[in-house]
Amino acid sequence: MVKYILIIFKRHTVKINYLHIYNYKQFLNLELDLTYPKGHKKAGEPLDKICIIGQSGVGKTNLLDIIKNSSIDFSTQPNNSYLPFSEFVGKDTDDKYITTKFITKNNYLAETLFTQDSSKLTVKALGKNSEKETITENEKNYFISAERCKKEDLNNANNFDITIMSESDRRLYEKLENAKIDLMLESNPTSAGSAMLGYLSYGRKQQSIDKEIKKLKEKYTTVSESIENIKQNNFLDKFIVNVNEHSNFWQTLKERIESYDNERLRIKDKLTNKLLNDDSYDKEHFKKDLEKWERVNENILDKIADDLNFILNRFNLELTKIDENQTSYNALIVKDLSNDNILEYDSLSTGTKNLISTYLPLKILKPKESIILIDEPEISFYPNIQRELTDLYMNIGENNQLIIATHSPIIASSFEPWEVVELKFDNNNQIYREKYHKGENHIDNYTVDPRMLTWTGILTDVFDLTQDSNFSYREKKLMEYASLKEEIKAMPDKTSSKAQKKIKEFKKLSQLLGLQN
Amino acid sequence: MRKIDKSDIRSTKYKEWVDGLGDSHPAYSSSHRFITDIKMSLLACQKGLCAYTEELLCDKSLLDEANWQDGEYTKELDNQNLVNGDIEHFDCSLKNTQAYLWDNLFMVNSNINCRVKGTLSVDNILKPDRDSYDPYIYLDFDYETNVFRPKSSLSSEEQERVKEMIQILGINSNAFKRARLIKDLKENIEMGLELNEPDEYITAWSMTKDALE
Repeated sequence: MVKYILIIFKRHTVKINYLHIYNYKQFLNLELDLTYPKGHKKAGEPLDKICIIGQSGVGKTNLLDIIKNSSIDFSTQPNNSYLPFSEFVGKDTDDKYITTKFITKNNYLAETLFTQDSSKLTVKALGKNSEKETITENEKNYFISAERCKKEDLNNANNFDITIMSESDRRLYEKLENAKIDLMLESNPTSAGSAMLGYLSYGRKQQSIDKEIKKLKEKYTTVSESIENIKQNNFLDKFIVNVNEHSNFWQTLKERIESYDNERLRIKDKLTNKLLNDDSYDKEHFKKDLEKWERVNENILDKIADDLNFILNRFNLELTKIDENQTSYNALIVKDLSNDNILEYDSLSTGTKNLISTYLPLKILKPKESIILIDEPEISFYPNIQRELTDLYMNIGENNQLIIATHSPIIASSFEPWEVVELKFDNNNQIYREKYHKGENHIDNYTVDPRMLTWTGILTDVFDLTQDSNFSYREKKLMEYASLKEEIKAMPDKTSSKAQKKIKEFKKLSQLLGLQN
Repeated sequence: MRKIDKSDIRSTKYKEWVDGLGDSHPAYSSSHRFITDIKMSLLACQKGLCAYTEELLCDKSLLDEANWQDGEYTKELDNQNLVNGDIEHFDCSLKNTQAYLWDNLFMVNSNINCRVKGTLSVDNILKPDRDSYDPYIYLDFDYETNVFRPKSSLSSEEQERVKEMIQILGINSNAFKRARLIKDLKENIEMGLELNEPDEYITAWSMTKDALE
């Protein structure tokens, strides 16, 4: 099971490009430049994808948490009161901080600074002639937030004062809000899960409730008040979805698919009975009634079939219809394409089900310009699937920044060298980032490129394995092999039975050692 | 594994001290005042190489005689002046009683000291500073498989002893680094490029050259 996937939806924040951790957790002084190096076509821009590697204990997961905490909830708190790192620990009790830089999609540089006692956000514009342009503290939130804000967003601002409403409107408003909450509870145990079910029937009901709420609010909210609300918030969006609850999400979805299937069968039985017992009810009636039921009741499986098949095909499987005449998918039945065997979903391998339950929620969310954090995406996946994971997650949405922590050399092999953050302990047990380049940070100065190495090369050159095999055993056999070769070379008659026996032994050993590969 | 001449001991202060101990040594401590002197003295004798694998353990500038004053090593060893190796007790059974015995000490790659050799018992047949030790008598290097193996001219009993010691000392450890160097040098010859003699894995390269000729 993947440890966690966290996706940060942001309307404005796009990518992190710098992180400096001073005296926090195991990091005494770790500074990470997360931009493309000189000579790269994206030089200076934030990395599209980042692969964090290193031995256990170097802080890979902590790094993911720091990125998450320093970028997300800042906006939900009044200025300076957000202290996600209040448990600062370190040798020096006075001097500890975390600072990050994010590039927003409208080309602003947002810098955060977290100290033990306060947090701070500064924003400045980037681009031509704007290096010196600064935005006043009062202007910054409005400037960033409102620039792309549509009118309807303004009316979604929090802290709406219902006391200014008329009695009847207030009752209606409360009723609608309660209905919305009931719908969420009924729909999924977590708000994250509800959000994931965005385009399903729940989403439509919610939309109609929201529409009514918005109408009511519009009666009482002026645009300037809405802007003021946005100003009080920070420019970073608040929408966080922890897809770590993906198993809940998939479980919910699966239950709905199964319940749809059961209900459909029940209706079909009922209609079949009618067909058999009621002379005035013919096949046309039956067909019409069933189609009517199908129109009213949403078939989730049909909607997700393409995404599901995208994953199933990787395992040579495909969603199938029991009856060829079926127009839609009605049950989680899968066909093994190698032998046409029909399988129930629950009988699929753990790896297959894991990939479905991890990938599908993300795919349905369609993240855009978001940061996606994944810890150990490789867990329970065979190497052939591991090879595809990076591409799968990179193509899951649009213009996202993928940040993963991994122990998998295969996953690391899909990253450009500057996208790999290898954390190591130095002689004083402090954590630093291993450099893959000599001198200036320019693509020409890199001496390691995981994409070009063999699997062995990645293990030895990137993951610092000191042996390239189970050497204590292999070495013995290699010595035997080398000695045999020497012995055979020295034999005058290679056709003698003794020589032939040795040659056979030599060839067998060569095969076992994989020297013929 | 080269033959090592340990007769020139730069750390004269340590030598005086250890000679005065007789058979009664204090317990070994990696923070002992003479540890750096012993390390650098050994490395000077070993030309900066791991005694067993011949991997370069430090920048050669650290071996300059100018770094020594009155029998003591004066240069500070830190992250900039890194020595990638440990002091190793060839015969571990002597560590308890004669922890600082010069003849029993070598500088080796840390991985070999900790993970490969450890406290395994040894056979002096492959002790690199033994008078009659010579890699050309005991070892052969096969550049195709990148392993040192016992010389076929040895008796089968000697071959077994050598084979076991090759494994105990980890002579073929970190072999991928050696393989790359040999491949690189061979390639230079094939392409008619200038051949710079390597700083490390000297015996392996020397035996490879012999085999190629």
